[in-house]
Amino acid sequence: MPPTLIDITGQWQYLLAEMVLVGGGIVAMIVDLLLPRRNKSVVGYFSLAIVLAAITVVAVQMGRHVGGYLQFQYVGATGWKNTVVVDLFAQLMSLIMLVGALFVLVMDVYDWRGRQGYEGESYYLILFATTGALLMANSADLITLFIGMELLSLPSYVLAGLHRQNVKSNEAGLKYFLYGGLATAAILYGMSFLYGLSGTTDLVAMPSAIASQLPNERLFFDIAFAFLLLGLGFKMAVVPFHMWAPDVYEGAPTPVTAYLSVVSKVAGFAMATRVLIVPFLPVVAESTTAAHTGLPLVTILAIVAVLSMLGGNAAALRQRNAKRLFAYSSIAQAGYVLVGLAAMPGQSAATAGSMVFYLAVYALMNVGAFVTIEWVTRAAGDESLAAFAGLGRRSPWMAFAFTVCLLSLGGFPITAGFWGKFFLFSFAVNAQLSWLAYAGMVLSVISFVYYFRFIRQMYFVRPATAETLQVDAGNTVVLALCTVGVLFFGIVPNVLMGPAQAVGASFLSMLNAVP
Amino acid sequence: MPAVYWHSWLVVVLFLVLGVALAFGLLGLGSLFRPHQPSAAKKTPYESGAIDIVEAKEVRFNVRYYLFALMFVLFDVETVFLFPWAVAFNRLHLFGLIEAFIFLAMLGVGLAYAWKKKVLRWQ
Repeated sequence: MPPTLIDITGQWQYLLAEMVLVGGGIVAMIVDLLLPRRNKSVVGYFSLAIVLAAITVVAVQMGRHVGGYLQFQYVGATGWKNTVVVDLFAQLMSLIMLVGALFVLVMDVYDWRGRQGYEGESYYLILFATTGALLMANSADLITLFIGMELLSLPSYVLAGLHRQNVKSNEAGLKYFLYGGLATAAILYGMSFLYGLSGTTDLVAMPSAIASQLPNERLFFDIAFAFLLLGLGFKMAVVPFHMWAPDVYEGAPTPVTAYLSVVSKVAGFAMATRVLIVPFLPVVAESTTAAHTGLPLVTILAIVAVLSMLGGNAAALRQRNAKRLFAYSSIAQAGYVLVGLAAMPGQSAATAGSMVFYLAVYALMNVGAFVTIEWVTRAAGDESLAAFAGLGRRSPWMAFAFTVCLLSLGGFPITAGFWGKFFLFSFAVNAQLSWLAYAGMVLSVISFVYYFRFIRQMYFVRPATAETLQVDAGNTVVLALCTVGVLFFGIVPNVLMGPAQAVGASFLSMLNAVP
Repeated sequence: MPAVYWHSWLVVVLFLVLGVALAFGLLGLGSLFRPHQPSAAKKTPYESGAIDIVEAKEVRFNVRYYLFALMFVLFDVETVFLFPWAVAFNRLHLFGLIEAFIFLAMLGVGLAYAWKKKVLRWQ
């Protein structure tokens, strides 16, 4: 028998969650084509079941401590090439993104009630985009990473413009597409430098290959870093690459805004960890020696973090549109996570854990906030802050949940957001970036001003109508889960911080090649 | 950068220079020998022998052609991937056969989507 062209290890279980999502997405697509127009929500419930199945797969694999690499080799070649890695980092990130996608789907099913248009598409495009997001966290190879990123990006552009009758939604779709395309090009260009320097696309083999090339080629590493930071900065929406975010967040359908601000952002940070931190660890290590001549990479990351926290919080102060305000708020939140990224080269294991912790908490509190925004603005037909007037009287439980999420976003003690910031900033201090930690603390105080504007509207302003706000069962459950999660992880953060700390250790296994 | 690295780029530069030089050189060479007798009929845009009825800059296409072009790309890309599969079929065996059919099925879903959304109907 003649040999096959490619030999694969057969560890397909490492891609099981992705296969469930893609297979489910294709089935959802066919079902959507067969269904009459009024029954499209069936596709939504089916997509919910698919995401639940994917969550089960990841959870079971975590429970059984499944972990390893999906590898292949060309026949005749020596040595295996990694394509996909399943480690605790990938699994926890996947769980965060899947839960985010699940909550967004619940929002989406109800968002389409009473609307005409592309309802079925919105459900399975979320499935396809989430597959890409999972691949971004799982990939051990630049090509896999890039395909994952595109698989996330392309459906997202369509999702942002899905309300075709709405001019702002059209604007959002087009803007996101144009900016996103530019960011993709920058990332690909940066990746090409990494490949040119290390001679491999394999992220596991890359650090050692880079360490051997480092003394001669420092300039090209800086160029690669600059392009990757540019592209990933767009994807994560950090200052100064954030210009698209407010318009896209405002114009996109609210569930899609929640998706972009939670799932896409978490995927962006997963990718940044894989491609902006791991390959550059030898470069950063060289920077601590006296002889180096390159850019101070850690300082650049730290400056971007400060700019994001400053720019996001300052711009949010002037906003009166709730969705725009939350766009700037999520820019500032990305800044806090960037503090973790900047501290990572100094304190890899611990900081990776605190970053995962913060992203998990961020997903909960932001989804909770967006559920409230969706219901309040939809009922009032108004996206300004005034729509929240008197919510404390109209529906006290919803106002309470929203208050908890807002306090957590600001970093108020006994909420999970406080512990998230506490861990991030204290590891920044450990990594000799105490100025960055102080800047983060001072700037996050500013955020209370605009978060409290919502609270003032809800409790101290007379409502325009006295009627209570009816929320359906699904969204009530989502909002309750988010609120309880934020409070629970605020009171006993160790429940989440324990696994998150283990992430650091598993994450380091990928770095073994680093000298 | 090692010298070998730059030498490999020399080929690219060579192709660039040769490509430009060939195009302009041959056109210039032609103008030396060909007769030059312009007339009004020769200056009109070529439209398959038909007389043009509007200015060339005002010709407009229906935006629906865009969708047809998109559908064409679907089949075009399909062919691009099927050719190497057909060539290597003897070495890929059943694995390759199944892979190719999965690929075809996915494109088929795309076609079904376009069909259902009435992209193929000219209204």
